[in-house]
This record gives sequence, structure tokens and C-alpha cells, in this order.
Amino acid sequence: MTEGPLIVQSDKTLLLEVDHEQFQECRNEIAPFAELERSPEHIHTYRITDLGLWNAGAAGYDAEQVVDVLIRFSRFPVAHGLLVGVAETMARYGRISIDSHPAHGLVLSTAEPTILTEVLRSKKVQPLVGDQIDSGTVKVHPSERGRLKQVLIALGWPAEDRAGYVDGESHNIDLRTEDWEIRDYQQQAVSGFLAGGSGVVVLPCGSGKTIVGAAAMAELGATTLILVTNTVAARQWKAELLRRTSLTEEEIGEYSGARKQVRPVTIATYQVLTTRRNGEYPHLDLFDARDWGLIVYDEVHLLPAPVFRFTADIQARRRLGLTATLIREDGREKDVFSLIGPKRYDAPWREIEAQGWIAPADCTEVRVSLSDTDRTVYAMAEFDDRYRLAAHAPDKVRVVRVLLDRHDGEQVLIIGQYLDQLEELASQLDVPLVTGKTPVKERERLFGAFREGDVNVLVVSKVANFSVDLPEATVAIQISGTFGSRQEEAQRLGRVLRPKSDGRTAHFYTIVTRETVDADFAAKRQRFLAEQGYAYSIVDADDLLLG
Amino acid sequence: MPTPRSLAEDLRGRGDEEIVRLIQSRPDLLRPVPKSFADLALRANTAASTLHAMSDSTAAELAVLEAACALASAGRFSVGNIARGLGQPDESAAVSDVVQTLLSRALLWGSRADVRVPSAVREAMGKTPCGLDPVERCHAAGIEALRADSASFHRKLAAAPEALREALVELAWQPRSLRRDRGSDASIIQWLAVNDLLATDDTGEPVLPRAVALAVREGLLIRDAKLEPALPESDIAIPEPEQILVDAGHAADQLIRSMDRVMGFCAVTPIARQTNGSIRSRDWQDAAAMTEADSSELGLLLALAWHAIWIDDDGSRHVRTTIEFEEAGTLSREERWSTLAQTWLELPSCPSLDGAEVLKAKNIPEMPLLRRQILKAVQSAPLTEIGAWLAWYRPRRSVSAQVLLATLAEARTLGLITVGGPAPTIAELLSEPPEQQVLANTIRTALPEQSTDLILQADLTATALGPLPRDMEQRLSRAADWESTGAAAVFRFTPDSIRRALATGEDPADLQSWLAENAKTPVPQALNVLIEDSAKQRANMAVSDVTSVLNCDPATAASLLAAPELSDIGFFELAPGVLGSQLSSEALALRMRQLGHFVADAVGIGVPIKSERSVAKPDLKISTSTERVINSLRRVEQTIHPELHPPEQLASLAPHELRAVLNSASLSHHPLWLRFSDEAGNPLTHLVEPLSLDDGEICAYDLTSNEIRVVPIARVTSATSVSD
Repeated sequence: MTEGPLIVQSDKTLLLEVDHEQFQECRNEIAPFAELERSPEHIHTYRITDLGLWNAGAAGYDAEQVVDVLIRFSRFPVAHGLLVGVAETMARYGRISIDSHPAHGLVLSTAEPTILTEVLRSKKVQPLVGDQIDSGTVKVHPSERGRLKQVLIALGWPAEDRAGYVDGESHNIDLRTEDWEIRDYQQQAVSGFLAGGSGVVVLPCGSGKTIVGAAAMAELGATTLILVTNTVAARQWKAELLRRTSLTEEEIGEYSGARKQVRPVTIATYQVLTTRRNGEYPHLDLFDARDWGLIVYDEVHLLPAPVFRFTADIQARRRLGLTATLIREDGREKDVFSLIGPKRYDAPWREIEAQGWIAPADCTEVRVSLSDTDRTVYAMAEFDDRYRLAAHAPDKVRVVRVLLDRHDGEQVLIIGQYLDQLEELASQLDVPLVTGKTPVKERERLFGAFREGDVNVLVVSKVANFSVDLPEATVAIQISGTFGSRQEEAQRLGRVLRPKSDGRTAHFYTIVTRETVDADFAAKRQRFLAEQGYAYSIVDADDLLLG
Repeated sequence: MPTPRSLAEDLRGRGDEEIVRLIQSRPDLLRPVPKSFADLALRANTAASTLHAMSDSTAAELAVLEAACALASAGRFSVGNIARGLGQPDESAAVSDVVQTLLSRALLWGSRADVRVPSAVREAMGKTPCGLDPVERCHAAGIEALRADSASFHRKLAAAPEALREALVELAWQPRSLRRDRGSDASIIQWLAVNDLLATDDTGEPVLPRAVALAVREGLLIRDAKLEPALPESDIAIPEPEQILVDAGHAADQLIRSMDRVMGFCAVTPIARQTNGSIRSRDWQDAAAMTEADSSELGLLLALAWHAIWIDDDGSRHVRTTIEFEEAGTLSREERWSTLAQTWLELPSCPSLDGAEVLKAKNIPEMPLLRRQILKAVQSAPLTEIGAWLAWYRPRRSVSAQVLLATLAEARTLGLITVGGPAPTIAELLSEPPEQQVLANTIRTALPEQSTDLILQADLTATALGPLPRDMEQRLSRAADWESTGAAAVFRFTPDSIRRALATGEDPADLQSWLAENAKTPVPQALNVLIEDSAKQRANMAVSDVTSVLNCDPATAASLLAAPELSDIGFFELAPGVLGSQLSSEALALRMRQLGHFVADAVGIGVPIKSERSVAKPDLKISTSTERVINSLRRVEQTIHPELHPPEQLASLAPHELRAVLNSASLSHHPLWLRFSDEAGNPLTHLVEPLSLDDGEICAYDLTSNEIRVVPIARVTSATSVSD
């Protein structure tokens, strides 16, 4: 037994003590094979999963190294069964592989024919492969490479993909770093991605994920397809690429509802890709429109199902996923890992904050009450209507006014779910409103005015949840949300996390109606941020209104 | 020393310690108690007892026995003959030790110079031990010449064609009848005939004579006799005893904490059993999820708890914790662990394989012995070679790989096997008689220090970076859900968990201050607010006048409240998941069941039940004292007939009084006057020293008639201790 910083639990979670002198060293050692689950203030929790161990195997780690790290840093003896489990799990990686055969093209091969026999018995594998060449080799349909890898992981025989990537059409892209520098964690993220070839980078909102994408593009020097959530985000990407790289206007195309430009670097929205006509997705052809050397998936946690399906077909191309919160409310995180690639880099939010790259933030939950009359209406309401009623609590408007007074002169975003509530609020406060119905040009104008400080307060619907760069916003007030969505809460906090020029602390207020489903949802929504170390302080609206 | 004339005489001549060793290795010899040494010898030479003893014999012992049987058919032999037959020097210590063991177990008798084989052993070994014809069928001149000059035989053999030589060697080791019409046999038959060595069996078919076979084998009875288990060189690092003990202590600590967690679950959520005793698959999965245990660990823990009577069926097919478990709570950690370790040793099943059927009445009588053998093997061989070791150690009893691996995994869970090797506690666990206190003392020094510091975080978790004291862990597990188990403990506070704690009488202010006292971090405001909010919700509902209360999950409660068909019940919400009604609890339960809902009887939840079972019932069975039996056998041999005068008055006793007197005397082995009727119905009053009380019979040394007597208790009318 040592006085190490790590406790290896029998349920395969790893508890890492933050204040321990070996914290950083241990964190670096376990990161290749363990997933960071949560990173609150004192104890970070990692989990050893089969997928994590196989990813470590793919990155060149063997079981002996993993076991050594666990034993070396562990404070208490590590359960024998867990160590054996690690060794057995890792031993399964790479015993079957996807290779490029000079005569037969893509093949699945193994030195142990019994493994091939076992996987070929699976009905899910059979349609993905072609003729058997010999006892240890079978042809693979090139378009099924991704799906086959997915199915093999589910069967417990992860394939080592040695078929490599196509380089794609080369296109010179340089980073122009005359007035800025790539940060260490961004460089580590890029290196992690390049070493693996494909994968996901998880970084907090406001920490410069676009730079990671730009740097990856520059390293690969290839034509790139960038997929983003909406047109505003597409234009922000374009602006950022123009500023940070040698790319010119002519080299960057926008493929959205408004424009259909295919250029060496093309930025497309998920929305246009998933537009259906006669049951078809005509714009998915964009994936084949050029010989892309890299495909970047921004906000990969929002990747829609048709893009998932198509992504399975393009496994020979390098894929980079970017996100702040790899939580999918539909639980398809595993699909992201198997189709885009494993997590290549992940950093706790608080750590980036400590380095000064994102703003420190105060999170406050303000609790309002329903009047007796409203409470009766709430009590009588159908379950489905209760959240709307609770979210519309009249006191929320009063609280918003008090908060605006408190933060007078600061850039404030008021974010909500219900359009009628937002419209009423914007009207009462006499401030502009941005919703999905606001034309793109008008949206850009308002966001521009907000960035310039011409507009101090902006009421926004969930269109501003993602990829909207409003660096000067220092206060966000959330009056309602998409039920218990954890990633939405994190994204909304992310709106105010861009570091402020004066180092000011950002404020994130969420106004909830006590003793209603609003409070229950709020508790659920806050969990991800609490797990990232953001402690909500809870204040009573009455105290706020009186104070 | 002259060779005894019979096994009985051999046994009679042995010292008391040797007889004790014999009976320890073959305990069936004492059931029932033999009445004399002749009786003991007779029993030792029965087929059943012999086969039983042979099934517990090692490969080396079986090889020596087989060689002895092969030699016995040809006349007298010594240990040296056996050694030669096994390809060992006459003075082989290994062979000598094995023969000594077999002599002590009465599978052989006689002396080392004149070894004898009991008839039951010869029968058990079959008609052709070592593949040799037991009788010499041929008295041809060639055989006589062979006996007189084996060198000449070998010269002739060496001159034979190679193919013929090979065929002869094969035939010598795998004897069979020869057939004249088979080409390869014809040449052998011809060669044997030419050399006047051919014999025929009872049917007239030609056979290879025993003497020729032995000559071809160069005197070997058994090829490659495995006198030692053949184990490869181990590359395991030299174990560090201190580290092993530390690891064992951590595993032991985790076992008792896991057990507490499972018992806590059983106390609050009794596990339902089906009519056949098994647990429904869904309930099993729920229990595993709630207790953070996988199926095999849960099976082990429930089996241990069941056999230690820490849980029992409450009569309505629900498994709850017992008063015995409550009492065990007063024991120290090491005492609880040693209780569990000893319970495990005796479990008549392999519970980690049983899954949801773990509480079905199953019985694998062999398991306790097998478990001991596996633990013994663990002490002697690397873990990867346990299977090979057992195959040598008990070749006649196969062990499935599944059972072997499961038993090793169970031993790891108990901390008897660690990463570094077997723990020293194995030796103490296997000691005879069991030394529970010694076992407890050994593990006590290794148990990890308990930590009383909690780390409370804003994500509403509490983490203890080490084992918590039991009372702290129990209080915390009432107020929060387990999130992670192992050396440390992680709990998550939720509205449901706080409500649960409050429902069991926890005071919110007390809980807050207790957390503040024990946390080395500040209590997050969110946690304090959660406790206060939950308390407020309870306070709001406490004002109602309620006759019965229905507990369920909040979603179900909401649907029950909204259901028009339940309007006659008059439900009202007391708290999320708690509904009140003015109906009596019986009427409410009846109404709900009429409407098709499954309603568990909540009365008694959390209250331990009183088990009707017992770990051991000393008044039902009093084990036989081996030493006393031997002493009695000796006295029977001495043919003493003392003058004894029974008391004139011997009061009749009521059955329960009689039982008490017999119990007491059987425990103390004090002599007592026993009045009983013999098989002819004659009343007798004899002075006896009880040996055992079992199955409605008392077995005793009868001083009056100088014999060992078994009397059905139904025929005993009175008894009084001589001290009275």
C-alpha cells in the first residue's frame, strides 16, 4: 500500500484526489485508458471501460502498462479480479484486424481462425462481409468498414483498423500566428487526434475548439468538410478560419440553406445535410463531392442520425469530432466513439479555467415561488403542462429585472425555452429577441451589435445554445430550459465562459420555481456542471428582491 | 517385530495416536461406533469404506496400491519390491512415505518387510492390477528358464526383429488376448512358442505370460509413476508475506462491508422467493444493482448470510435479516469475517455459480472437502497449476474447471488468496479443530484502518477515502445511495435517498450537523438545501390524519391519485411517493389487490425476524469423541468384568428429563446408570459411559457387560449420573 493519489474501486471506477501532489502525474498516466466521468472540486472520477482499454490498445499501450499504473498509484491493494479483467479485455484487442489486401481490397483477418468463425456466426456481421478467402481472412465491403467495426466491438472482438486513411486531395493550409499562439492544451488535442487518425476532442465552451480544428486542418494540409449546427455557426467558423489561417474567402465555401458552395474547405450545416426530399437525403452527396482529406464534426454530441449512418460509410477519411459535453440525451455516445473515433483529448473545465483560458463563473440558482392561485392551477394541471406552468412563474420576470439592475452595464443574455415567454419578456424589458424565426441576417446583426456593445441585453431562445460566439457576454440568465437536458445547461453556461478582457467573473443564473417539476429538472440539468466542479449557490428570490 | 496375522490384530497393536489418525482420515469408520477392533477392521475392509478412502487418495498412493495389488498376487513382498516396481531404488523415501501413509489409513497393513493388501483394496483395483495377469498360467520350461536366467531371455529378445520387439513391448504394457489369425500377433505367438513361453487363458486363447510381460517391462509395474505432482517451474515473484497480509486484510474488510450493504438491502427490501426457493430474475437483477454487486458476488454473500442465519425466510417467502444478524453486529470486524470464512468453508454449494437459485435447497456434500483440498492446493502450487495439482491429489474425483475457478474467485473475495499468493489465514482456517479466535486475530492486524473523514462535493456526493466505521457507513447508506464500492465508498444524495432517511426517523437538522461534523470539506449548500427541502415536504404532509399509508414510487403515486377507479379509497398525497388513506391498512391492501395491483405487506420492514433455523443444535447430535471410543475399544479387549451394583432405586423420568440427563452425560462423558430393556424386553440396569447421542440412539461403553452398546432412546426408561 502506498500513499498514492488513486483509489481503484472494485466497480472499475478510479477516484483521483485532486489535492494530492501526484495528481497531475497520475492523471496523465491514467488518461489513455480511463474515461473522465466527473471532475468536481476534490475527487475526480474516472472509469475503466472495455472501449477505453481497447482505445489504449490501439494507441500502443499493453495490459502490463495499465496494470502497472494502477498498482503504482493506488493507495489500496487493487482487486485481483479487476487486474485480470483488464488483462483479459486488452488481450482481445488486435487479434482481429481490418487490412488492405493487395488483391482482395479491404479484408478482415486474424491469425486465429476460431475468432473469425465466431464473429462470422453473428447475423449482424454476415451482411457486412464478402467471400471468405481462407480460414483466417474474409473480404469486407468497403462501405461497411465503420459498421463492421461497430458490430465487432459489440461482439467483444474489437478490430485493429490497419487499412489506413486516404489522404484526400491536398490543399495547403497554414496557421497565421502573428498575433496569437496556439495554447498547450489545444496543441495536445491536435497531437492526440493526429496520432490516432480519427477521434473526438472534448474541451469546454469558449476554450477554442475552432482553433483545434484549424490546426488539425493545417497539419493535414487537405481539403476539409466542416459540419456545424447552423448557419450562424458556419459563418463564425468561416470568420475564424479567415483570421487564423492562410485560407482566403475564395477557398472557403458555405453549404447551407442559403448557399451551396463546394470549395477546398466547405462548411455545411447539419440541417441542410438532413433535409429530405422524396424520402432521400440529396445533400448527403456532399460527402462524396470532393476527395475530402478531413471531415470535422462541430458539436458532435448533436450529430443527427442520418449523418451517423453516412459517417459509417466514410471510415477511410479522417474524422475529427469537437464538443464541450459528450452527453447525448439519446444515449448514443458509443456510436460517436465507434463512428467518429475514440476520445483523443479531454480536459476538466476547471483546469482550463485555472490556466486562465476560460472565465471563472459563478452559478446561482434563484428560487421563486408560485402564488397560491398559480399553485392551485399547477396542482390541477396535467402532468405534461406542469413544466410550462412552472417555467412561466410570474416572479421570474421580477427576478430578471433585479438581476439586470444588479448587472447594469454588463452584457447579459436571457435564455429561455418558451417563445411566448421570451416575446413577453423582450417586450416588457424592451430588449431585442433572437429566436429560430429571426432571419439569419437579423440574427447576425443583433449578435454583432451585442459583440460591439451597442446592445447590452439580448433575449435568446435555444438557437443560441451552440456555436454562437458572443465573447463579451458576462451574464446569462436562464428562465427555462429543455426539461432536464444536462448538455444544454453546460452549453448555456458556455455562452459566458469566453475569458473577459478584464478577467471578470462570469455569472450564470438559473431561475427555477420551487416545489415544482421546474426544480426537479433544474437539479438534473445542473448535474453535469456540478460534476465539472461548478457549485451552484442557491438563493431565495425574496432575498434577492428585498436585497 | 513379527507381522500381525490380520488387519484386526494390526489395528489392535497400534498406539492410540495411530488409531486417531486412522479415524481422522477415514471418519466413516466411527459411524456407527465399532464394538471392537475386529469390528473396526471389518468396517475398514468393506468395499464402501475402501472406495471412499481410495477416492481421497493421491495419484502416488493409488500407484503404490496398484503395485501392491499386482505384487500380492505373486506372494509376499516388501516396500523395496514396490519401489522397484515403480522404477525407484529399494530405499526410496518417497515410496516409503506413501506406504507409511497407506498403512496408517489401513489401506495396507502388515509391516514394511511384509506388506499386506486388504481384500477390499484388491477387489477395488480390479482383476488385472498394473495390466498384469494375476496368476501365472504357464509352467512351461521356458518360464522356469526365464526365472532362473533373465539375462538369457533379454539376449533372445534383443536378437528378435525390431518390429517384433516393439509389438512385444506394446503387448506387455497393454495386455490382451492374442489371435492366431492376426498377422502381427502370429509372429509374436510364433516367437513365444519357439522359446517355449506361450501360455493360454481359460478360453484356450494364447496370452502373454505374466513373467514374460514383467521381463519385457524390465520389472516395472507402473511406468512413470507420479510420486510427486508434476508442476512446471513457477515464474511467480517471491511473495512478500507482509504485502499479502495487507491485501488479505483489505479484501476481508470489503467482504464484511459488502455483506453489510446486502444485509441493509434485505432489511429494507426483503427478497421474494418463488415456491421452489429461487429468486425471480428481475428481482435478482434489481438486488444486484441496488447492492452494487455482480451476480456471483451477490450469490456468495447471500449464501454466506443464509448459512450463517443472518437472513431467513419470514414464512411468507420473503428473505429478511434475522436477530442473529443484529447480534453479529456487536462483533468486531475480524470476528465477523472469521465467522463468514468458516461458514464459507462448510457451504454445501458453490454459490457464486448459482445466481438467482442460490437460496434453493441444494446440496453438494463434496463441496466442503473439495474447498479444503483446493485451499491446500493453493498453498502448494501456483494458481495456474491448481487443476493439475488436484488431478494428482485426487485423481478419482474430477473437478470441473468452472467449480474450480469459481471457488478460487470466492477465496479471493474472502481475502484468502491475494495477488501476491495465498494468505496466511488459509492455514488457520484449515486447522483442525477450528481456531476461530486465532483466525480472527491474524486478520485483525491486517484490516485497514478506518477513515472517519467524508469529502462532500457540490455534485451531491460523499466520498470516504477508506473504509468507514460500520455505524457511519450504515447511517450514510440510509441517507444516500451507493454510487461506487471498493476500498473507498462513494454515495450520492438524491431526493429519494433523503426521503428514505427521514422516513426511517432521521432528523434533518441532526443529519446536517452530523455531516458537518464528519466532513473534512464544507457541506455544499446544495446538499443542505436538498435536506431542508425534503424535510419541508415531509413536514407539509405530517399534518394529515391518516389511517393507512401506501408507499410507492412518485410516478405510480401520481397515477394512483389520478385514477378514477380508486376514488372510493380517497387517496391524498402526503409526499412524493407517499399516499394516505382513511381506510385501514388491511382494507386498503385488499382493495388494491382487487384492482390488480401487487401490494407488499409493509409491516415489519426493517425489523429483523427470528429465525427458526439453527447453525448447530447440540441437543440433537453430540459428536463422538475418538479418544473415548479408542479407550473403550481397549477396555473391551481387556475382558474385564467388574463387580458393579446398580442402585436399588432409579426413578422413572419424563422424556424431556431423560433427554436432559442423556445430553448432559454425553457432553461430559460422565458415567451414568442406565435403565433400559434389551431386545428381548428384559429390563437391565447398566453403568455406561456415553460416547455419542445421535439419530435416537445412545452409544456408550457398557462397564457392566464390558462392551460397546447402542441403545435406542425409546427403550431407555431411566438414567442417573453416578455423581448423583
